Amino acid sequence: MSDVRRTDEIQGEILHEYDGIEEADNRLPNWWLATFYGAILFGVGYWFYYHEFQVEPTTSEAYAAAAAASTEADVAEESELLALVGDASAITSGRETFATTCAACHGDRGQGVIGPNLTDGAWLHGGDPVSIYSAIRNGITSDRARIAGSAGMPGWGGQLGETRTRAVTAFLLSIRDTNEQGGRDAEGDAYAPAGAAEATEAAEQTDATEETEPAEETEPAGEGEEAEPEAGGADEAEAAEGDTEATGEQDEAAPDEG
Amino acid sequence: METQKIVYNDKVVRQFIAASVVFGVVAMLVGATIALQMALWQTNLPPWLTFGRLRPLHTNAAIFAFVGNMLFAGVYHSTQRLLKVRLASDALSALHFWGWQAIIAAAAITLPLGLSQGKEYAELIWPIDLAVAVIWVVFAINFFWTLAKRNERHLYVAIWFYIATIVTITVLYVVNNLAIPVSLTQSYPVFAGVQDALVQWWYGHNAVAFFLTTPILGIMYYYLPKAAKRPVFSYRLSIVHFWGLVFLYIWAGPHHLLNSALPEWAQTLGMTFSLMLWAPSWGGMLNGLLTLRGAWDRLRQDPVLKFFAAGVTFYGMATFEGPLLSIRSVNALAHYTDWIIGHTHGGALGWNGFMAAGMFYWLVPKLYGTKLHSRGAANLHFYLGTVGILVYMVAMWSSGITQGLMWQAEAEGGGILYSFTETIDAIRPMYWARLVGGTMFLVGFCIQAWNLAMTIKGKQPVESSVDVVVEEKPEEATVKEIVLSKPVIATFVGCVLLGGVAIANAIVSVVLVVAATAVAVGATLAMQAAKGKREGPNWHRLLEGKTLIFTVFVTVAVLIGGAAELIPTILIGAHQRTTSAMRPYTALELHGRDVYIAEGCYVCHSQMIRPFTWENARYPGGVSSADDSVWDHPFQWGSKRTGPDLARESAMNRGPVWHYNHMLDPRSTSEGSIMPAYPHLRTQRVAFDLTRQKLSVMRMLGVPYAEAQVTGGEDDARAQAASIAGALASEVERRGPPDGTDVPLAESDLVALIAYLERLGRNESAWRGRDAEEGRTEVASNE
Repeated sequence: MSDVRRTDEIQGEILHEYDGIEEADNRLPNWWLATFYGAILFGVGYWFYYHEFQVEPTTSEAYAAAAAASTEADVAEESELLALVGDASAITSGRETFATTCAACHGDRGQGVIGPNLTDGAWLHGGDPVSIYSAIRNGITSDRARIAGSAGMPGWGGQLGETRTRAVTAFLLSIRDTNEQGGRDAEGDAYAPAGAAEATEAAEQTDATEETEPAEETEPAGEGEEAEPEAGGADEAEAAEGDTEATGEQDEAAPDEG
Repeated sequence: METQKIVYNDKVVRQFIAASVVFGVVAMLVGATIALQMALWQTNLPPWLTFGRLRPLHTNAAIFAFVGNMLFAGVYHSTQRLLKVRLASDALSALHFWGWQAIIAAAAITLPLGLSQGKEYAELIWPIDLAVAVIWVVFAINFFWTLAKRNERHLYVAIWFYIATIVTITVLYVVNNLAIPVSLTQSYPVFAGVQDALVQWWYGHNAVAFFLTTPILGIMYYYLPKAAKRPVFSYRLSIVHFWGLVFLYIWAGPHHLLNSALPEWAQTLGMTFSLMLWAPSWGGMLNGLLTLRGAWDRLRQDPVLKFFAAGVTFYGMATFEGPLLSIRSVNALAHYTDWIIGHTHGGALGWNGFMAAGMFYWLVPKLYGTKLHSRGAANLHFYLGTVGILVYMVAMWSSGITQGLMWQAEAEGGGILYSFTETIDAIRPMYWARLVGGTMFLVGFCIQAWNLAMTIKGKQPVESSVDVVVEEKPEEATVKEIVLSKPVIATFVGCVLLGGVAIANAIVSVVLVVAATAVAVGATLAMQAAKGKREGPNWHRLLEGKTLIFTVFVTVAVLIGGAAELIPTILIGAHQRTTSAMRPYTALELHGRDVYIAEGCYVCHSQMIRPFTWENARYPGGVSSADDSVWDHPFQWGSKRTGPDLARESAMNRGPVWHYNHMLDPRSTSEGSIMPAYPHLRTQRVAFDLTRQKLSVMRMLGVPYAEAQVTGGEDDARAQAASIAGALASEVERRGPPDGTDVPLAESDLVALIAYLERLGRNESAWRGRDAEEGRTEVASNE
């Protein structure tokens, strides 16, 4: 109610009273003050450390720098992948990874379920070791899938890491052409592991129906796949459209017509 | 001098207490239900009773119905007595009570129906938001009018906290719910992406601060010394921790967005201000606990003091854990995990739940002129509740830390060690433990409801009154004396100097900080020196006699932090929107996005991949950038990963067939998933009649749709839906037709949702069908 002068034996001098509630005025504990001032000092220091003087990069800057440094880091050579096929531990590891990661779509033996049969010698996205490796690592985007008339696939490179990605590649190379019983029908084109990579590429270029990835300078050719002309058309339409165009319809329209 | 008899309005207090107890049971019952749904996905009952729709009901009921009604009861009861005056208006009090209950009823109906704004703790649709704003203003008028009629010159610390609550919640609620209606039940917020995220968490964090904390601190300052019959420990601590909390709390919102696409400077402010909040928060705890000095022995007998002591202790734990979780590196582990759920429940159950119990057990018998029915039952409530909270929190700590570490675990030879479902399998036992702990708390709360009901059974409400001496007192100080005073001038100069750091370079900034420190130290010393010489009340005491200036100062203190963070971010956002290459959603994707919001997908799925290698490994396609969500009204970054992040869902290249099967039967595509099935999406029609309206509201908000896209929106949406349905045709045939629906697939919400999910995370390069990685691969394969 009003300012009162009374001293409580524990709380000390009473300053005020409201509705029977007395208010003492003890001084603030030193440890509490130290916590308060310490946190303020830390906050100021942190700001100057990261933002004013930029002594160290912030989290996102550090990540961006690391990501830039690791770009282009791991790209497998065909010879490395073929060598792994002879490495029993790599095949075992690849088989284990396949069972946990790939079998849901490709079947426990690679015979194909939602995803294509991996044992029949026919390949939708290229049967050479590096194409298989890159399909596992980077996935099959919906655009590529549409062109090939297949389902898409997530890229597993990040989740599996380089070692396991290569091991799975080696495992797939070890089961190709084994023609598992009861598998999905062959899709795509036959790939003959005819030795050197040069020979493979030469074969690709002479084979009009080859479905391996087109090289950078060769645009997807119109022949050999029903869905391709429409898909190509959609691509061009998209590229020509302004930023503000919403193009999902055309995007999705292609496979429907194919 | 004349004496006047003041009769208090306790009817509204009794009403609010009854409502709080009833809705407390409801909120916790829904909580236990969704805890069960996490442990056992089969208990989701689509469409109305899925986790995604019930979780918003749980949070809104706990915050606004349980704690809301409790704080109104406490504020109205204690304010009348602290100011020796009856509430200004019985009519406004009744309107406040019934209006608030009507809002709760409306929320309880709309949220299970999937009517939601898609922002956490701000899910209520715009007509209900308007009602909340109106009723809150009714509360404010009633409160400040009561202050104006008071028979007590000075405002006690409890009243300071109530003022801060009313002012700040008004600002937060209005700004965060600014939206343009699409229909009677739907709206799009004016902010998008990063800006919406910051506004949302400025609101979300400070709803915790100014709805769940400051009013309860006020209640603590009244009921704890009353129950303990002991003097409050320290007046000066009240002053320091009050202004510390009010000023610092507002800045801490960005700690919900650490390591996200929010600009780093704002993240740093969020983290450092959270650390600075630790001491002011503990100031409240100290003033509570140290007030019990001389009364500790009575804790053994008195359940009221038990609840208050434990409640204040839980407050101390939660306000230590909060700053800890705000440290960037700790947050990297804890964010998106159950640790945060454990943290919030430490506060909600331990602080709010126990402070409510202490207040109810003390107050209800007094309001009916009787004694508590059963002290033993109240003690049982206390022990059940305490053990329940501890089980709950320990379960969530272990679940959160386990899952956080599993998400980061790197496999030998690179890559990640655990799939997402493996991390779910690991924590499932903790979900059962959480259910046990939560149920114990609920049982304790039900015992309380029974105990209070038995206490008032057959009793009549007691009318309570006080005789006051009405006298004209001369003014202590003029407005000018208070405003143009040393503390105000020093604070103003200090703030201006520190504000300069935002624009000055590093060297000048050092000078500014040193100058501000010198001003602060100098002013403190000057005031210390003047203290001994001057007679009469000090400056703050004078301020306590001036409601209007006090309220203005609180408002200014609260606005500084919000303005410093929001205004630059919104300006940056406005620029970003003019330069962004991001394409807006197609009409059908927009419909799908609304389905995503209605189903509450954001309560389990984040859309924000943080800049860590383990994040990018699990979610290929690159970490999230501000550009990704530039047209997202509202943003959908989420705060919890019960399921995987979806920011780059399109980069998973799943295709519509996968999504179709996944939505109808999640376990057919994802073994071990705990997601409910969504069969009703197949039988629910897309609201094509709203397409044009949705697009035109988005256009009004600045999303770059051409006029033709708006007018032709419905045709575009139908065409895209038909194309997706076409792609699904063979799969639909394989699965067989759904039972009893005549809704064509191409008109179902399911197709709209698939369109949205297939679009998530597409950036400009993905649209061109040629992302950087593919380009690299092509080059490599040609070597």
